[in-house]
Amino acid sequence: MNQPSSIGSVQMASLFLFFMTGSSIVLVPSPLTHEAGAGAWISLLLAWCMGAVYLACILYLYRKHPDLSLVGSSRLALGKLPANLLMIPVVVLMFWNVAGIVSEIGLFFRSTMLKETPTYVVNSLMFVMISLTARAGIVVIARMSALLLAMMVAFIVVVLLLVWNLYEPDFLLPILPNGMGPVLHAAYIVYGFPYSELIVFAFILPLVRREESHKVRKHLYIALSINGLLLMLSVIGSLMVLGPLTGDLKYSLFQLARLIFVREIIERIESIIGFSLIVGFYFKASILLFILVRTVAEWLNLRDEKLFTLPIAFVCLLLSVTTYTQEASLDEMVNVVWPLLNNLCYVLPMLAVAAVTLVRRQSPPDASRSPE
Amino acid sequence: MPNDLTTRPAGAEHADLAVSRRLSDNITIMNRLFAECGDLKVYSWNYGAGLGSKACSVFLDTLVNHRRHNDFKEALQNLTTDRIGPTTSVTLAELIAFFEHRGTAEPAVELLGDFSRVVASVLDGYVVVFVDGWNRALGSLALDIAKRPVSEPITEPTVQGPHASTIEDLDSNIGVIRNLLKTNRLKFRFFESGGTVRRRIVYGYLDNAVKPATLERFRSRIDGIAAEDILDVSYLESWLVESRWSPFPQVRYTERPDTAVAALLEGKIIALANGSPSVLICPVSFMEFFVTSEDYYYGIVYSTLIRFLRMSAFIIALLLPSTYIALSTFHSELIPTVLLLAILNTREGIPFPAMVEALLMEFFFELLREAGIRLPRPIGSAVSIVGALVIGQAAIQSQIASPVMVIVVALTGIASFALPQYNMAIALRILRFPLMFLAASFGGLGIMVGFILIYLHLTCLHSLGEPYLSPLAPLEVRKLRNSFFVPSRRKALSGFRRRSADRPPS
Repeated sequence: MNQPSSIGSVQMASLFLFFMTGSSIVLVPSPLTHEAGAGAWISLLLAWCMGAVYLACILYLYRKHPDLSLVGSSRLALGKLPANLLMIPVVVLMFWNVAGIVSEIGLFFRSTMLKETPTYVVNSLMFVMISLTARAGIVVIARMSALLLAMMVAFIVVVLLLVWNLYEPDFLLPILPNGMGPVLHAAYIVYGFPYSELIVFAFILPLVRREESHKVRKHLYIALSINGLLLMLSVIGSLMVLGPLTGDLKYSLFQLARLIFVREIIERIESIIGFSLIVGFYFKASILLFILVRTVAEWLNLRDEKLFTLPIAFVCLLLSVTTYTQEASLDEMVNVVWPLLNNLCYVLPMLAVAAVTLVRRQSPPDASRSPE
Repeated sequence: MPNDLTTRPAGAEHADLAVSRRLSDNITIMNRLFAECGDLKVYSWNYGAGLGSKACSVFLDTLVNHRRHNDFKEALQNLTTDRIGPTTSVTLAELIAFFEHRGTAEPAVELLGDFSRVVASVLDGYVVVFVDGWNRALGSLALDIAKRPVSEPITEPTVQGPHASTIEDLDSNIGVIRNLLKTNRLKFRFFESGGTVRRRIVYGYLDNAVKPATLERFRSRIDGIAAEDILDVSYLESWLVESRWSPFPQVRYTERPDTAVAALLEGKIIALANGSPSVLICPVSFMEFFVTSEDYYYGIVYSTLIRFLRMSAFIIALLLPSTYIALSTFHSELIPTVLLLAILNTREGIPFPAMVEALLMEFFFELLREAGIRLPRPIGSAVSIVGALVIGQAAIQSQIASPVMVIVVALTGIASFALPQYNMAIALRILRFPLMFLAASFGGLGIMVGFILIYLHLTCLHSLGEPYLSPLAPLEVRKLRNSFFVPSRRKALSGFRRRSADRPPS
């Protein structure tokens, strides 16, 4: 079946929304409130603003070169060899990133629902799904997103609605008990996960259909806003229910579902919610694996990218079962190392390419020939 | 006449011979070509002045209408009376001139020049007349085989709406469809398939309504089919489908002319074959399997609710046994406490884990269902009585299965019967078992994985190039609304008018 391999801009935006919301909606509130307490929402807002800035950067690159991914535009801006060298850390981090998402799933199950199932089984199961999805290509992924997105958002809203009787607005105060310091620290964590990760979308924006490329900007910003809103609701909802406990309980949305009690019929529905939230993890990992495969293929000038999906997925699987087996080390990883790595490997290359592109544009057209 | 006629065995090599001027040669060749065919009748008669000129009718006794056979001779005589004088005075030259200049308005009369056409005509139910001294044969259609009368469609009965079904005869089916859709934009392309079977196959579409790319794809798919022995219209399916290993049906069948007409109006392509009452409809999308023609004969509120019922039947038929396994093995906290106690109570003393219990009962049920279909009708009811006893009462009393399990299996069965298209129920029967295994190994996670894999497969699937999950993935909100909620007739019709106005004539 020879299908066109481009997608609409709304589809791209829904992938973007999924990517930003998928796993973070479950994972973010806990470390955020752990650091910042009731001021978590301010941190979220700050990190969101940074996300918006980065989105502006990759959209700038996209506007300059609508057919080129970050690999292509960096080759154009920096020359072939420096660009190829620059891509090494990006690709390595992406491997890590895919493995990290799946390890999170494994740990989530081990600590909540399937306590006796070994993590590698869950991880392998996930990788079967993820690699098949990534192999099916961007068109299928984009088509799948609509129903899954609706499912995920619906479940989030259902959880937040069903705990309505437990909301204590008092928990939202005091906002800044220890000044701005903790809030900034929390913002740094959320900035690292998920907001600086959005840079990977620079690799697949050229897949948007040519005739819809002018709408991408608007749709991606709307998606980012919805993402901010959902995270905000999740953070505030967790805070109002769990109060100071939010920071100490992992997977806060899941913990909220645990508290749902409606007349003995709807109670203890956290398993259902848990499985639905897994959709977010799964889909985020699929999108990222697709981006990774595509980037590797473009980076190494491989013709058939589908062929490489399964080997790359297998490498990620091995990474995921060997790298983080301890929950504590993964926590530290997400909160401390991850933002730094993101800065070094995702943000810096992208900023470098964007800066060079900007400078080249402002210098006269033939300046590239004689920069001295 | 070449003398190798006597030495060579009878077979296809005679078929390309031309019709001879000598009647006796023609009769010899015919007898040789149809050797051992006991139903071939060769009937010689005379005409002309003093009954001096010889002619001979050849036909398959079992295919033709005897009255029609006589009619032909009568017509011949009548024609000669009116146009070229009384029978007794007809000369060979007059006869030849009359027929070669198409002096007859009878459309079913053909002039046949060689034996391949003569053989084909005889097999198609023609009476072929050889006239001595003329190197042509006259063929006149007299086909008459027993037809089943048009009756209530057995597979798709309805309460309201038309009760006519298609039958095994191709021409009367097309006639019924044409009669319901009186427009010259309704095209039917006939072709004949197969060397031995020589089945007439036809595909039809409504010009302007069908997408040209879809039609092109359909044509390229069935391109090589003329060489194959097609016995039934369902054989076409393996040429038309894109993923042969998918459990999901990628074409749809109906025996209702009104459903076929509705499909044509929606821009589908239909295909029929002689000898098969089924009408094949393609391309299809997943949501169409929840639609019946009856939806459009009732009020929209009722039809929409029924459609929701069917969708929940789909989910129950697919997921209920695996959900029960997952709940009872992994997530018993999800079951309200009182109910959980009741379930545990009934499960006491049952030696199997829920998975084995479910597999066993599902297997019994599948067995019963298969037995019920194959048995002659009078014995069939005995099977259902025995089945009810085995699956229901006895299984519980002998503590092979718990009552809840029996409810689960029975509900699953009923839900799969509630789907309007039998093909979709087959897909569910296949997929239910892997889901049960996944649920038994990973609980809810397994079901989730199974669901996502099925969804992934459905999203990848195409029917004649159209995405299978069409209004859902890729998402088209307006169309999706129409496939969940039955639109009012006025709205549906105006939508159809708009669609056909949009599309330039192809």
